[in-house]
Amino acid sequence: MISGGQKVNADPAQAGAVRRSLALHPRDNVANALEPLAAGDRTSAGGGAIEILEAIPLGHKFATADLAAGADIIKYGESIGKASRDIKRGEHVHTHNVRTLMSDWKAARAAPGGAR
Amino acid sequence: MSGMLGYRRSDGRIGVRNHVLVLSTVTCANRVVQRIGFEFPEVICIEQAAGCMSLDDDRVITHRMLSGLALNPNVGAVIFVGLGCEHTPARLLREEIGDAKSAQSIAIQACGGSDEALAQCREFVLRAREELARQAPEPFGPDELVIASKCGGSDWTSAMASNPAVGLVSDRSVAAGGISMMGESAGWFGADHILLARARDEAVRVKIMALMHRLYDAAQHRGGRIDSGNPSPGNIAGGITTLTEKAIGGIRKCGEKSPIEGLLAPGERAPGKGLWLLDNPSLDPASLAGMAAAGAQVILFTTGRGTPVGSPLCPVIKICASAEGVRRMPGHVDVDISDIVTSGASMESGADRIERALREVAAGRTTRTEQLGHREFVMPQVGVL
Repeated sequence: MISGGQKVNADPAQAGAVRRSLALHPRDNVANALEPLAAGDRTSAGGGAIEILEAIPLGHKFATADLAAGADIIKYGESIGKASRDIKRGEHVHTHNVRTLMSDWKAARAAPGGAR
Repeated sequence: MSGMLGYRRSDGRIGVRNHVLVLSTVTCANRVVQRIGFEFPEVICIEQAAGCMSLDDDRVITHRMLSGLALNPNVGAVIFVGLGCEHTPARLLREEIGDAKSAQSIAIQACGGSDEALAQCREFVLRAREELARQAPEPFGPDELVIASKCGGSDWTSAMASNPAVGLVSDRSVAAGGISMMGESAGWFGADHILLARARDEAVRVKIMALMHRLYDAAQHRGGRIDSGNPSPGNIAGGITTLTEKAIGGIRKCGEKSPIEGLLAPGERAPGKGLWLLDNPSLDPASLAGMAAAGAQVILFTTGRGTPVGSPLCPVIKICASAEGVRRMPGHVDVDISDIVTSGASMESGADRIERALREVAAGRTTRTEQLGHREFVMPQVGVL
């Protein structure tokens, strides 16, 4: 299941290195850093080269597409939250720029097409 | 072929451990139970934080849980120790055990005090120990295996590797005719639509949704939101952002193939084979307690950040896919599958290693939690999420 994110150059001392990352589902717009990432690093999760814009701790998520405020954050092919502000491709995606779906859980479940 | 060995009980079930259980039914009886624990460190002694003066919903849970713990097949003999004036008398619990296994009850008020209760309890333990030591284990197959899966101290590797690997083991176990259970109901929020889609029928879907709404409303009624305390600060530091993200990763423990046969209340036992959901708290020891009361023989526990927590009644196999977690707490990890993340080892190879450990533990090999004496216990209650 884990694939992609080819390890071309893993020298941690080298700035702008190509590093490993992984998107879990083809529809995802975030990927996990499989090693700590620094600004300027390049990686290739979710297709195409991505330039990392800021430090991403090991295992944390970064955007693989530009996301407008209010956009769904897609991981495992499912929405796991909404962008609470605009997020650029390559930026860290975490509690500082994602809001929970839980405030709207009841409404979402009651809506047509929502789970019963 | 399985190599698993268990102890057959009079009720037909089979346990992978042969414990003597000294079970306090109310806080007032704890001291007697504690003193037995000092005298017999290998005997399983469980104390209660409450057990009386609770509302009906918690009283029902406590009653069913106490019965369920005593009936866990890993228990060969049980003595209930109560005070005498509480709602759920030790005598009633003993009656409910019938002849499933050796059982006795003591009420401290009826026997004249703590010392007298202790003497009776000691006598039972000595007799039960001798009786159980004579019992030879017998081989059993995967169709009699009852497992439960749990995640705790989760991080980004839980969803990516350890939970799906346990999910494969769950699918295999169900396909082999066994029982697999998954708990932590408040941790399903955001993944509830996936569980509904896998429910056996409409009745199961209705039951799951009724529970989810009850939990959600209860949190709101108390001025919070269902994700106020979940994910935990450690989960967040480990890369998990929202409860939805954690939930979708968490339910990977129940695999992808088996339908969900039903949802069981705390202390309820699965009435048939297959995959079952358990309503129990996310707080690890309370969830493990619920799994033991539901009849689990062995618990598969994934962790990323590492956790020492164990169960008084069930061997708990700790599975870690985080190289950092393994490095940080090596003495608490039974199965290291971090190569799935670091070097692309297959999920199947991870599941194979978990399954091997499961069979060895079900043949008597002790887990880290057992070696370290981790027997944490929290009674599931309505207010515990």
